[in-house]
Order: sequence, then C-alpha cells, then structure tokens
Amino acid sequence: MIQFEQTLVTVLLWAVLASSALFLVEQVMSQVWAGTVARVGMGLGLVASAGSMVVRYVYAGYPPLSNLFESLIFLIFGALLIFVVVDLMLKPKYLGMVAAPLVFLLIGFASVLPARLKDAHPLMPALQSYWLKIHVSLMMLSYSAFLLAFATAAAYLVLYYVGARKARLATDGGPALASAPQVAGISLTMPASSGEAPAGREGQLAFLDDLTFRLILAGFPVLGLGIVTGGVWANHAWGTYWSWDPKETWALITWLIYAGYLHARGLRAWRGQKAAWLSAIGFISVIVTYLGVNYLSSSLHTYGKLL
Amino acid sequence: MATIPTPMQPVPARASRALLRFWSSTGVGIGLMLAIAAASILGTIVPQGDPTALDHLQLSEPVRSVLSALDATNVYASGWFLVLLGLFFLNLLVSTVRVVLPRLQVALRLPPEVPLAAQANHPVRLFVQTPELARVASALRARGYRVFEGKGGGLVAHKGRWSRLSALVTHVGLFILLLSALFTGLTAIKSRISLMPGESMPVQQVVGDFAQRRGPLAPDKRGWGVRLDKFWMEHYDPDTVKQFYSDLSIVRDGRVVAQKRIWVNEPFTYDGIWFYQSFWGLGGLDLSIGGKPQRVELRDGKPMGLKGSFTRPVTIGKGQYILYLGSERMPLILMKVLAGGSPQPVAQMGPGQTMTLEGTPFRYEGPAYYSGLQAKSDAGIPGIYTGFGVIILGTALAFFSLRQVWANPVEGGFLLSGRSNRGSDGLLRELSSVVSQCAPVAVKEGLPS
Repeated sequence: MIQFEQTLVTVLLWAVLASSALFLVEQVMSQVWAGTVARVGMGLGLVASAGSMVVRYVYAGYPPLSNLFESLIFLIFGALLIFVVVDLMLKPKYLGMVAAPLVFLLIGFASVLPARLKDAHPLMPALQSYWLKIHVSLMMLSYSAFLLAFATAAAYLVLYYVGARKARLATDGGPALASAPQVAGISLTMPASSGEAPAGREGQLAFLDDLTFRLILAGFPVLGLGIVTGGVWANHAWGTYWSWDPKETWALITWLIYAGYLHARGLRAWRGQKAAWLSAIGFISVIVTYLGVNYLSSSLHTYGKLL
Repeated sequence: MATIPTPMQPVPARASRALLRFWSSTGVGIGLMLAIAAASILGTIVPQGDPTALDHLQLSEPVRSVLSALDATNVYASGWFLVLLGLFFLNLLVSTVRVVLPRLQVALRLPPEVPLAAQANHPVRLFVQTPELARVASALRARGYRVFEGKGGGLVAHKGRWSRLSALVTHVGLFILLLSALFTGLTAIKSRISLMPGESMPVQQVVGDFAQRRGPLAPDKRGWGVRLDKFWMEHYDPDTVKQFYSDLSIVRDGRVVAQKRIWVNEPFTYDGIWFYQSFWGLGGLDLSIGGKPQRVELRDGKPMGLKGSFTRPVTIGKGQYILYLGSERMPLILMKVLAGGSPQPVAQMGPGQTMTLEGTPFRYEGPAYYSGLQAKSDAGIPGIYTGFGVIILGTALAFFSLRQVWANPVEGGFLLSGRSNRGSDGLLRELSSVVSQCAPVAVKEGLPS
C-alpha cells in the first residue's frame, strides 16, 4: 500500500468509528446534532473509500477488485453509498446506529489483513478481462445491499424485542391512546411529513420491515446479474458457464435463500419478525459466499484465505 | 326432512386437483428451493468428482454410509439431485399456470370502484379538503398515476401495474434456463486437448477421442483439423506468468482456411467449435545432438522415484541417456543408462548450454511447452443467456411497486385511500403530499374541518 492510500483508509476508519459513536449518542441521548455530525462522517467515509479505490486503480493499473482487501473496500464503499442514498431519501431513524458499526467492523477487518492479501499484485491471466470489474463490482454491490438489509433487520429485531418490553411497562396504567380523527365514520391515517420516517414504535417497525424488504429487492437482481455475468465470463474464459465451483454454488444458495424470503414475504405474508430472521439467515449465506468458501473444497475463486 | 345430496366429483378428479394444488403451493416452492440449497451445500463440503474423497474424511460409519448412499462425491449429477431439479421445474410450471397467471390477470385489470365503507379496509386513508375532484386527479397524474373518474363522483387511480409481471417473467426465465440446460446436456461436447507447436489434430478426434463430455445428440464434426503454429508465454517476472498465447490455424483439405491468436479470455470459434486457451505444460526438450536439432518428448511420471518429467532413452554418441527435468525452472539432468539398465546421473545443464558427451556435441536449447486447449460445442448457450436475461428483467421488475388509490366524495371534500404491494409508508407519504397540494390548510391542522 502506498502512503496516501493508507491515509485514506485511516480517515475512513476514524470517520465511520466516530459516526458509530455519534449515532448511538443521537438515539440514546436524543441529541440531534450528533446524528447530523454522524451523517457527515458517513459521507466523509464514502469519499475516503472512493478515493482509496481511485488511488489503487492509478498505481496498480487495474480495477481494484482482485484481492480480499480491494473487494472489502468496494463492499464498504457500496454500503456507505447505499446508506447515504437511503438516509437522504427516507431518513431512517435507527439504520445508522446499526449500519455504522457493521461497516466499521469491515474496515477494521480490511485494516488487519496480512500484506499478501492487502497489497497490489499483478493480475493472473484469467483476471485480465473487462468482466472483472463488471462481475466483481456487481457481486460486491449486492453484498452491500444485503449488509444494509441485515442492519435494518437487526434494528427491527432490537426494536421489536427491547421495545416490546418497554411498551409493556409503559402501558401498565399508562394513558389511553388518543383516538384517530374520522371522516364518515372511517378512521383516518395521520398524514406523514414528506421525507420523514414514520414516528412511533409500530410505525418504525413497519418502516424497518419495509426498508429491509426494499434493500433485498434491490440487492436480489444485482446478485442475479453478478452470478450471470460470472457465468458469461467463465464461458468466455473457459467455455463453461457453470461448473458447481463452491463460490458460484454458494452464490446460488444465497440467491435461493433471498428468493425464498421474497416468496415468503410476498405470497405468504411473512412480515416483521419472521422476515427479519430470514434476512439474517440470508446474510449468513452472504458471509459464507464471500469468505467461508475459501475454507471449503478447492475453488477457482479462492483469494482470501487467512490461514 | 330429506337431505339433498351434493354433487360429488369423481375421486380421480378430486385427487388430481389436490395434487395440482399441492404442486402449485408456495410452501412447496420454498421447500424445494431450500432443499436444492441444502443439497448444494453438501456438494461444497464434500470434494466433488473424487470417488475416494469420503475415505480421506474423518467420518463415523453411519455418516459415511449416509453420504455414500447420497452419492455425496457426485451430488450435482446424482439421481436424487436431478429429481429435485425436476420437481422444482414441475412446481414452477404448475404454480405459474395455477397461481401466477390468474393473479396477473386480476392485477392487470383496472381496479374496480369501491364504496366509501370499503375504504376503511385500505391501509392508508386521508381526507382531502377540496370540492374539486379534478385537483385530486391532477395531483395524482403529476405523480405518475393513471386516473379514471368513477360513476359515483369519485376516482380510481393506479401506477406500476407492469411490476406485477415480475413473477411471470422470472418464472419464464427459469423455464428457458432449465430447458436450455437440458438441451446443453443432450447436445454439448467438451474436450481438453494438448498440442505441441507444429502439431495438428483432426476435428473428429478433438470431439471424439478427447471428449470429456459428449451429449447423446451431439453433432458430428469432420473435414477439418486444428493446428498449433506457435505457443509462447509472457512473464511479469521469471516466476509469474502474465499471459499465454497460441497461434491456431484451421486446415481443411490441406489449405489453411482460418487463423487466430488466442489467449485466456480470448477464444476462437470455427464451425461451431470454440477453442479456449486453458492451460500449458512441459511437453518436450529442444536439443541439438551432433549438430542436428531435434525435439524429444517429455512424459510425466516417477520411473526413478523422482517427481518431474522424463524422456525415453536418447542416443548420444554410443551411449543411451534418460533426460530428467524436475520443473521448468530446474536444470536438465542427464542420466546414463548403465549396462544393467539402471540410470545414473552424470551431468546437469541449463538452457543454451553445450557439452561434449562421448565425443558428440550436445546442446540443450530449453524446454518446449505444449498448449492446453479447451474445445467446446454448446448449442444451448443462446438459450442460457436468454434465460439469464429474462430472469434478471423479472427480478428487477419486482423492485417497483404497484399502488392503487381510490377517492370518494364526503362532506367537505374526498376520502382518499390506497394500498400498495409494498409497505404503506411510501404510499402514505405520497398521498400526504397530494392532500397537502390540494388542501394545505387541512394538512396543517391534521384534521378535517
């Protein structure tokens, strides 16, 4: 790694670490300023991760997607990008508090990798293809979407289990809920402010559940496209679009699990808690696909074996 | 009081309906997807293609018996896995016909007008304080809705209907993919061949003798051959190969009819056969014996317990020598075959070196490499790619939501309600902005006047 790249990764690390702490302050101590600064920190992290990739591209001379460190930085970049977009559009209340520490863990993991997995190395013949940037970036973007879907599912589950206890305590002898306004005998929904996540525990739960669903809906076709472009590349390079390699098999398993999630949610009306757990299972499969297969039987994709 | 017998369906009809209902259920579909996922996991844990793999794993006897019964070293070609795929195909087919198509027909219809009371069942319900329905319609149109005025003074609007095509399109893509994969299995040929520079191979040998896989309906090929004109490598450094190249010629009736330089990621096709640069290896030694250049073939093996490549005995002067090369980076070792037949090392030399053996000048020019080519014919590829594309289109369509909105007149304005096949918060925000646009005062107070 060159010094400037190292500096950018350090900026990324500290920015996301500070954001993690500030999102916590925002929620626990109800400090709005902390949330604002945390969002700036996430934006700074996005810029630093993009800068780090550009620097590597320039000095290594190839798209920085060929080893574990490079793919992790792209994964972090994708997660921060999706976070910033979702945050600007929907202003989710609890996403930052869960997503920022997860992203920080990834940066920490990337930072402690041994040099052989971190440094730029010349590309082997099979990787010298324009398909490298298309296939790997799509796979990493889908993982980023699933990472944030896991974050929203985790936020849902925390709010569901912790909030349920608090709600039980609050309703014991608490004031009765105000009745909603009515028109022609029909209760009205309270109007929402534009661009704001709904208030109240139930509203937040429904919002997080829907956001998890949307993130998976976004990641699912991208994962499919990643698998497909991998198949097209493999056919172009070796004449085989599918060879049941452990990496591609686990990518298919992940796709099947998320397909199961979408069917369960759409047709069997699995919402809330059950859907959140299914999303978490899907993310475990993502982790195995990304890192775990390096320890399974031999694979064309083994590039990040730590031990 | 006499009971009127209800008309009974014949038992076979009832049974077949129950069977169809079962095979079209989402639960069965999800179960099959999870079963395929679980089977695939097994195939990534147990090394595939090696029948002795189970012997190398530390397994208890019952586990070993179960894995053997499951043909765990050959999961993806095992009968039970193919049955799972077949059942998945059946579930896709039946659910598409029985569930997806009827639902799609309903979804593509214009949503019917609903009475005021029915709006109570919609997840989003807002009051619009305006006497002008046209303002509501205009605000909805500005947000991409198709708006239809109802007979009772209200309206019906919707957007994103085409997103409901998602399930159908995805299922059709999976059909195309599975059928194309079946077609591939029946017609594809896959071979691995090795050629030394200057060597040729007739196509019938490429797709016949050297075929690793050949479908029962694979086409016959004959009348031409492939020749390797040149093979070479580029290196980043002496130990790291950057790229390797083959110059190929297609020879038909003694004439070169096509030529192409191939490398990894740059294949070549002729007459439906694709050639891929796949691997390379040590194939021989370039020597000069007594001033006469010649190439001697190398064979892998361990005839003397040494790992590497050997030649057959070569005559140099009056002696017989076996030449041994441990690897391309190691020096050549010359072993003289003694009277009893056992070889004894007598000299070693690097590429470009010359020495005199038994009065005969001997020069080692260097190792000669063979080019490893993968040859393939697969008429199922266009179908596979089409299936890929259709699946991606279908899954991408699912990202967009279908929203349906109704408005009915009430005192002082309209009751605006709606539903979405996603969460209702996005729809609530959208309809709140419609209310805000039509009647800002009402939104400010949050209550109807």
